[in-house]
Amino acid sequence: MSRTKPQAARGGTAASEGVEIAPAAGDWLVASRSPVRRAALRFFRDPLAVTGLLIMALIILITLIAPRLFSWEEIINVSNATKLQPPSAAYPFGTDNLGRDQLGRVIWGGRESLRAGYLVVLIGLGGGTILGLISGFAGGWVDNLIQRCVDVLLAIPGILLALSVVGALGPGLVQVMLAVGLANIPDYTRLIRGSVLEAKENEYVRAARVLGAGNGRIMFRHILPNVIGPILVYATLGLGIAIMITAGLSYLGLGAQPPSPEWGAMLNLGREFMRHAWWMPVFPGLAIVIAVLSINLIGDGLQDAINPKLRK
Amino acid sequence: MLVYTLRRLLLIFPTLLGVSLVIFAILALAPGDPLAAVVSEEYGNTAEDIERIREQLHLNDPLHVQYLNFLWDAMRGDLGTSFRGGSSVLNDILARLPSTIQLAIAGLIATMLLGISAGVLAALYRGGLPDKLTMVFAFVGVSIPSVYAALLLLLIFAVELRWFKVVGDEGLKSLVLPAAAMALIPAGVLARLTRASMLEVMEEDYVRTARAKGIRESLVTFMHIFRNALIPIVTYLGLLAGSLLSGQVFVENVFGRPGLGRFLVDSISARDYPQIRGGILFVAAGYVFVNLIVDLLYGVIDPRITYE
Repeated sequence: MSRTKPQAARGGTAASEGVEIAPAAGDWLVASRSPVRRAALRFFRDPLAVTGLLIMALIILITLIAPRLFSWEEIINVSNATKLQPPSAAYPFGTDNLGRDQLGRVIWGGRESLRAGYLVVLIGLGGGTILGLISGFAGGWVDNLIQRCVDVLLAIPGILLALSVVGALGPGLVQVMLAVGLANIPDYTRLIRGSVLEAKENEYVRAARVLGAGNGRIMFRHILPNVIGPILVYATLGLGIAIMITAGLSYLGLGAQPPSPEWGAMLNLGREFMRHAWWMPVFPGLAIVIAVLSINLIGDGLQDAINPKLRK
Repeated sequence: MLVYTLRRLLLIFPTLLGVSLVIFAILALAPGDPLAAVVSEEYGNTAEDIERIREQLHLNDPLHVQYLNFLWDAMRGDLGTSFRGGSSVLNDILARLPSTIQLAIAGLIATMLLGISAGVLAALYRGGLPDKLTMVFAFVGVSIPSVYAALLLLLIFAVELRWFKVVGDEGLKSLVLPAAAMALIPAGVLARLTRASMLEVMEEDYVRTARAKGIRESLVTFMHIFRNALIPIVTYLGLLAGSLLSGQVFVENVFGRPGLGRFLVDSISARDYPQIRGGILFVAAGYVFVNLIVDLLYGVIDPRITYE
């Protein structure tokens, strides 16, 4: 799994740097006050990022209205009359070995695959935020304990951690989501702890403490908003990876089980009939690629918007 | 350097200890009975049978005793016996190892060839067509799951063009498609990294000096720029090991290769706990050692790196 985005970790003070850079560059963005708004404006001026956002919005819209387009019965019911038909006007993505419309299955499958991806990121991000905040903020033996555990967990490749959790819980989409999500926690913990350590040194944290703010308030009102940027970038790029890994594990038969139209499960079925029906593996896989590509476009756009200095 | 090497070697013991504990704990704390998939009253085993088997497998011992036994056995090279068929887990793993190592090496070579050459070309022709193609390749490449890349390669080159067999061993030739599928994602990352690293080094004073001395451009490119640009690339090799490993888990299954990735997946599907535990511990330990080697290699490649 991905541990390959060190840039995200360095963006801790991006927002405050932006304030100093912008006036010097004579950027019209200076006019808008908050760093969040400046980042948003930068994001929306990036055509690739906006394209990614539009594609993702479209995908989400289609998956949301899926039940209106195709009934669940159509998705799982077997029909011998329409078996293995190549793509045509009636069936743009062709039909599978059981005569089911692949277009409908891919759309319904998006519900499963995307939901799985979001939940994986939520688990990793949630767990990592809590542990990272505690670790970075508490310091001392608490920090030491959490970090030594993270050290050990990071010494095991993410895919192996995920496989051992699936091994413990047994195959199934929920189990896979949990497994991949839990396997992500150490990464997020490390990232968030680093950002917190950086943010902790800021004047406003000391100011808040002088004003009598408690630990909880400082953590959630002062530090968290200031470290959220790079974390958001990491989580977005992580979403793409999460979708690929859960679909991959479903392909291996460890995740969603038939007759689920989850994209990985569809790929698995497609592998079997590939010799006679190329459209069976091609379309669900294409759906994964388009979804992940749009997410990566958004992630890259966010990265540039939050931390313009890193721009290539 | 010697002190660093020694300390790094010693650190391997607590790491491996922690790794074994994590793996044992994840599998032991799972809800449900690990034996349920193998023997149960539904399958006609009597309650006494099950109890006898539990006793034989030491499943009634307290967890810490089970862990210490597992650790002691593992240190002596005994990873337990499979629930299915009762074969030695270590022997099962060793039988699968050659296939996995072959594919790992092939995948590594494919990644470096593809990633580094694309990155170098992109940097040399910055802003030109090779650069644009590389960046598109890098971006699209990391968005294609290795499972899908493997299926597409199989579909195009084996089913349609018939250059390769869909199943069956063809010696070295049968490594080409799996290695390519595995390389796609890491090569995309590597290409971006190589490009950025090359562009950075090109700005260095010593490159300008080399040119000013009238050294041939090809020599400057390879001796001055490329060699120095390699350092962050080597750093990436450590991460690459993990990336190739996950590629392997997915790709071996698509191509039906009898490697360790497939072994793990099969044992999870069959819920064969000793196999899952032994297999994961073996691969994780291998990964820890690979990382150690990569770490020690930095110093050899870049003498400027000093170890505290």
